[in-house]
Amino acid sequence: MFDLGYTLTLVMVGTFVLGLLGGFLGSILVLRRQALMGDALAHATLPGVMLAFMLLSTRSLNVLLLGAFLSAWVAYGLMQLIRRQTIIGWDATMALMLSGFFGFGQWLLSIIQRQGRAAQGGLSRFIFGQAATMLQGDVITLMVVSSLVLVILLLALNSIRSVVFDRTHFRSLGYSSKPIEWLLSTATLIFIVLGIRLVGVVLISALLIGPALIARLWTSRFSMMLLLASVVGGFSGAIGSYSSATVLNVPTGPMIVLVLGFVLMLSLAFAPQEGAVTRWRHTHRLRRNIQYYQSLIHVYENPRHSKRDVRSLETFVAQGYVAQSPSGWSLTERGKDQVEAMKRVILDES
Amino acid sequence: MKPAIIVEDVSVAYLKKPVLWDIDLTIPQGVILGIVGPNGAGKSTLLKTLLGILKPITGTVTLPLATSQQAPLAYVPQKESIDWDFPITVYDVVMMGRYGHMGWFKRPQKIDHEKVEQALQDVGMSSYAKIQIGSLSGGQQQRVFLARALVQEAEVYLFDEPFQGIDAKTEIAMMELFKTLKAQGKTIVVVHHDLNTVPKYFDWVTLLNIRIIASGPVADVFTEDNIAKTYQIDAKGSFWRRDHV
Repeated sequence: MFDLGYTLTLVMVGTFVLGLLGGFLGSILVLRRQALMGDALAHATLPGVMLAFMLLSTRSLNVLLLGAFLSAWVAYGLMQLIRRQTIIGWDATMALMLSGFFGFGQWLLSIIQRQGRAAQGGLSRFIFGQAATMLQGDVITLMVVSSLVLVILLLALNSIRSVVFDRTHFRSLGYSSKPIEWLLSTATLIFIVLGIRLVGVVLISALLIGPALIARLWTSRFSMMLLLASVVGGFSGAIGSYSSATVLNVPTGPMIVLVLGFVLMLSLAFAPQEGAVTRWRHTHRLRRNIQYYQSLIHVYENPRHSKRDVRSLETFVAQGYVAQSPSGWSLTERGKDQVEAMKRVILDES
Repeated sequence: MKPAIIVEDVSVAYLKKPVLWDIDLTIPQGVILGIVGPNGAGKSTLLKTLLGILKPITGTVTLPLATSQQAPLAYVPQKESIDWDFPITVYDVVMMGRYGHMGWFKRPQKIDHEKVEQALQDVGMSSYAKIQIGSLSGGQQQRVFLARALVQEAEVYLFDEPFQGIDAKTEIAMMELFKTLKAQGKTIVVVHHDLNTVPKYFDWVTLLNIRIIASGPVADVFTEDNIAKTYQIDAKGSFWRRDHV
């Protein structure tokens, strides 16, 4: 029908840009401790899609997505209201909105399916996503809007970081934090609405959280975290849509989750500072060193009355760590450096 | 003495409970003032009201020394309120103090970088500039936030429990810094909870428990009678709290 190669390339570029935005925005959400927010809002889009289809009898993607946006927006408003006016906690509020809206959406979907209307087939794709069935116009809209949101976030990045890190201080400078908070929520809503058709409402939050967590394991710098997360998000998006369209023919969402899960597990194990294997190796090496150099440490801490016998120190004489003088054993400069280096690591002395 | 902060007729309430009741307070320029009072006395609320973050139901806060170019108050938060795992370096935290001088789309200029480097030097943290804040010791963390306040070049410095959980070395450094700022005519306001150290750290004190109990030079105001009124201690020395409904 069409040139599949061209369409697929377009879809891949589209999901790449979406993943880029997801990694960027998700890093901010994770640092704000709102990792669950994206998940709740994504699930809350489902009734909007179904209602738009039922009331307007349309398959137009833009109309369905408008419904999604409105429904997630209502959920967001309700969350804020519940948080301010009731004793229900923030985490419980998010869980409530997630299950409540998603359940309502599923109920609507089953009604639509029972009615057996023509053209309802596409609707269930919103749940797990099917990137390859996107039309060219949809992908172009996706790319333009994603890029626009990304540019605005980049321009306000220093303000965003200030609000996320220390909101009270930001406000003490005389700024209101509301515009930034509004910008972040709106960007999240837009990202979700753009992404549900490709990745699905159930798993789109993986594209927000996964890249952010991976990036945080590899860097302690804010800008580097955002950059890394964007790249990881972009590639996992593209790989997800590619394999979904060709080799494996599975929905896009689960494919992206698989890619991200694999990279996350590798990162948890091998990241330079936070990785489990790295940490274990450091601890292990340190413990071995303390055992090995025990008699050196003893001489260092008790320079005047060293009770160590010759045998345990002889090996260190050969290595130039210890010297024997008429008054007893004493450490050479090299020996002192060795002990002090260990003390710095263990006792955190500077 | 010229006033640095004038608080007039300020009341703040959440739901039915008053948190601050008819506060009138004048803080003169160039003092090191401690705000003390029991838990729930409204210390943090007063601090937020001074910062302009909380709008009082009635009353006004005026800062006569403020010029239009700068935020009039530099704020140093409580250590507990900071996410120490946040991926940010010492340098970038201090730079946030300069954001008051920039617009919404903040881009630091050469002068901002110079001020940040100077402040880091002043608090002895220059060699830690590129380090993530979580790997610092408690005292070092405090000094970073001090540097952030310094680069704001404000007239009034507001500290929220700065002496909590710091080592003796940082404590002395902090007191030295207070004195230096005071000598430059700056005003220092500190929310503090430890009564024993009040005469050691401050020359002025405000005793607060929903209302202002007393405010003035430590020698005049920090009396057993006033402390008892603030903490509502009866003759046997035990605590009881009145219900403010």
